[in-house]
Formats: sequence, structure tokens, C-alpha cells
Amino acid sequence: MPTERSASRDALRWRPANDRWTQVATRIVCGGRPHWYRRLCHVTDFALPDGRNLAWAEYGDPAGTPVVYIDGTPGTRLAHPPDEALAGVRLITFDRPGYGLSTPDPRPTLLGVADAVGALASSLGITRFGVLGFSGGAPYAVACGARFPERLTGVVAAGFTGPDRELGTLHGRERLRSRSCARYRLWAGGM
Amino acid sequence: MTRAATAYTAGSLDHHRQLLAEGKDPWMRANEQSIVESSRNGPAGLIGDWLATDIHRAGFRLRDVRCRVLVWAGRSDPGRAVPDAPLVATRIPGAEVRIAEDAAHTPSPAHWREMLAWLSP
Repeated sequence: MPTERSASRDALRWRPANDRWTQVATRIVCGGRPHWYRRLCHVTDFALPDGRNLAWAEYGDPAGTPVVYIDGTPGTRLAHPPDEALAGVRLITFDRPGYGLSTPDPRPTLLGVADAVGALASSLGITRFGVLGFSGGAPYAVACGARFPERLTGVVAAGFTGPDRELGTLHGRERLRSRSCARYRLWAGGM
Repeated sequence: MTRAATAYTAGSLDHHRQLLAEGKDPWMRANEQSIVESSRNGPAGLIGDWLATDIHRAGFRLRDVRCRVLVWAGRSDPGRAVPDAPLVATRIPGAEVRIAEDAAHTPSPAHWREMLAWLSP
């Protein structure tokens, strides 16, 4: 369950993550002004039930329909649909574990991220919300639909490559080549 | 980055493609910042994504998804999004498929608006 501290949304106060590498990296990048840096980057923190840090941000209309956006690989809180598309939408984004200011998960799973989304929404007092997952974020959005469907207004999976084990679409090396390597090669500029 | 963007946007609306080429697409700009930010922990996030989506068992089946689902894909997506969309929809009860003829992998602002509107109750 979310802590009282996180529920109060005192998030802009500087609070170092538990992870040592995050602390070191943040200190290097932020220099002596972590407070200002985090304000500029829309950083807010949330302590997950297991003590890990989840950095998140908010865009759009604070009174609008809440939607959690899960960006593709690499997915951080800074990537979000254009502002012109956010009329009437309160968009919440976050750094998936291991990205940005979120602590890495020692055993990352789709449902683990879904649990983090649910805990974050609860801490913000949001009872029903939509989830929009794009590309590499779509499997996490679908996992939210499996984990807590009663809390969701809907799930959008955009640019979604389905689970090949269940769909039986790819096998062996073909699966690795098409899903992992190609994806990262594309992001790296076609090396 | 430019080559990646080109591959992912082939077939997009001319207007959108021009915005991308000029570096004026707000989604792509935010995405560039996001890529830089993502490396703060080194490759931890990429490895986490890879383990979660490709290596570890999902822990659920598509039929377990019991809410409204919209599976969106751009017709010119170079990946498996278009052929997978109907397969996914047959396994998720009540899923809806939308294939945008004027898009590739990356949605245009109009497509984002359409998807976010679909999520509003």
C-alpha cells in the first residue's frame, strides 16, 4: 500500500532514491541543484511498497480524465503525446524501473510494472483511469488490463507486438531477432 | 536517430512526415529527451524491458484481460503490429482493432487525440 508520505504528494521535495547508482548519477547530473533540476524535469517521486523509487510526471489538464501513459522502449516520464492531444486529459507518465530516476527492479516483469501503475494511481487518489501503452509500453498496458480490469476505463495498445509465445507467431532465433535486436538496433540508429 | 525515425514513420501523413523531418514534431522532440534521460542508470532499463517482455513469463494470458481494449496499429508499421492486431483481438474478449491507413509505427497528433478520446468514459 502507498505510504502516507507519498499520498500527500509532497513529491517535489528532494528525496534521494534508495538505489546507490541512482544516487550517484543524480548527484553528478544535478550538481548542487537537485531541487531545481527536478522541478525543470517535472520529476516527482513515489515510493513503491518494496521501497524502490518510481519517478513520475503529469501533463495536460489536472482536472481532466486520468490516463496513465506507458511509452515505448526506452520509456521515461519525459516522453508523452503532444500537448495539443491532451485537451481534457490528465496524463500521468513514469520512468519504468531502471530508466531515468526509477530504481531498477531485480526481477522485472510485466505484472510488476502493472502493480507499480496501480500503486501510483492509488497514491494519487485515482480510482478509475485509462491506460495507453505505445510500442514497447503496450505489453505493460495490457498487463494492467489483466491485473486490475475493474479499475480501468479502457486500455489502448498502440503499435503492439503481441506475445509471440501465446500467439505462436515467432520461434527461436527468429523471435530474438525480430523482437529484441531489431528494436534496439532501430533505436540506436540502424547500427 | 534520424534513420530510426525514418523507418518508423514511412507511410505517415505527409504533413506529419514533414514535421518529423524538420524536427518540429512535439512527440519526437519529447522522445529525444526521453532517450537521453533513459540512460541515467546505464542499460538497466533496456535490460529490464527485455527481460520483462521477451524472457520472463508474462504471468497472464490475453483472455485474462477483462476490460475494453483498443488495439491500434499504423498500416505501414515495419514491425509485427499489423499482423498481430487481429490475432490479439481474437484472444481478448471485447477487443477492438483499428488500423490507421495513414500511419506507420508512430501515431500523428490526430491519432493520439483519437486514442485518448477513446479512453474517456
